[in-house]
Amino acid sequence: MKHAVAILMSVLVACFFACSPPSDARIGIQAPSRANFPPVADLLDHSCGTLDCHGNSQRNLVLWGCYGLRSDPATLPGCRSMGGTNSTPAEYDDSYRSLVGLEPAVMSDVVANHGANPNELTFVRKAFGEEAHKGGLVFQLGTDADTCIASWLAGTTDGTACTKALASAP
Amino acid sequence: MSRSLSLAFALLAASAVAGCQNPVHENEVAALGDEAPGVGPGPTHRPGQPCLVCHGGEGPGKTQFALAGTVYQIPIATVGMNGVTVKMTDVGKAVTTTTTNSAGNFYVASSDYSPTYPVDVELDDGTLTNPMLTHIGRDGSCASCHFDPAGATSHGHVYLVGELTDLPDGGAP
Repeated sequence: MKHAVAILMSVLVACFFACSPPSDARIGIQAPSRANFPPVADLLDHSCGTLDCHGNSQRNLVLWGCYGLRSDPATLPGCRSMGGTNSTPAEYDDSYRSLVGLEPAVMSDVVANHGANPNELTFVRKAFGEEAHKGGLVFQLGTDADTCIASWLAGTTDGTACTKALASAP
Repeated sequence: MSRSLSLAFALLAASAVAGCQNPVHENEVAALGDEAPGVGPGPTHRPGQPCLVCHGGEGPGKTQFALAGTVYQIPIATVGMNGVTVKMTDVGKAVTTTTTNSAGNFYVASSDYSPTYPVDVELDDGTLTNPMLTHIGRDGSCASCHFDPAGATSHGHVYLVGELTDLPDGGAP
């Protein structure tokens, strides 16, 4: 009887370790390019990242950058053209993680399909007016902003469209 | 019988009202603190505070504002600036202007202006003009974003010029 209990305990312990993920396990996300993100981030930061919108750390989607929330506590909001400093690589990193990690499974799905259905993503539906959004309609379909975001999700970032969209954004 | 029915209805109505209160809003209002001594509720009260917490439709302020705030002359000023024209332009180019009062406060009632965001703002004291360099995305209270001290999450309070020496008269008294 004692022997049987010991065997059972050993089996249970073995099962526990066999079924537990390693402590440093991560859920993989099939994500769009970080390297090509800065022009997309600049557009999103300008149009969505002011301090009263997604430049607020209490939002689900938080954007960092020179138009609003700064990563470095010693840096003030404001881009170089306003007398401040432009968005930093650390701010692009932070915004990228926030955006890509917002709906990881959906993002993976969109990227796996080469950006075929970007409006599966909530941030796309809200920005393009397909879903209720406190900030209203931010981007129009068929514009440079649309091309910028869709191309990034498709893995073929059109940096020129992003720059043009930023220049013409209200 | 009809008396107990009335009592039951009264109790139901009271609990319905109590149940509709918003504790988040109540906490925001409470966090603003009491009125400053000698300045009661009115156009000059609470300079520098986020006006729409009380005047955003949930009370206790009676008048609902579309946009409101306080303008200071310079970043280190502690008293608001009188007589600054505040021009607001929404994304559809609908424009409204108003002028700051003796406390530096300005406000536009929702019944007079219903902007579609984003909104651009420009200050003008008659000698120089200073546009806000980014737009307002959704919040009509200046002080929601423009609060002191300046830092990563705020540019500090709204001001007309960065330095007194930027004024046409160089800040001469």
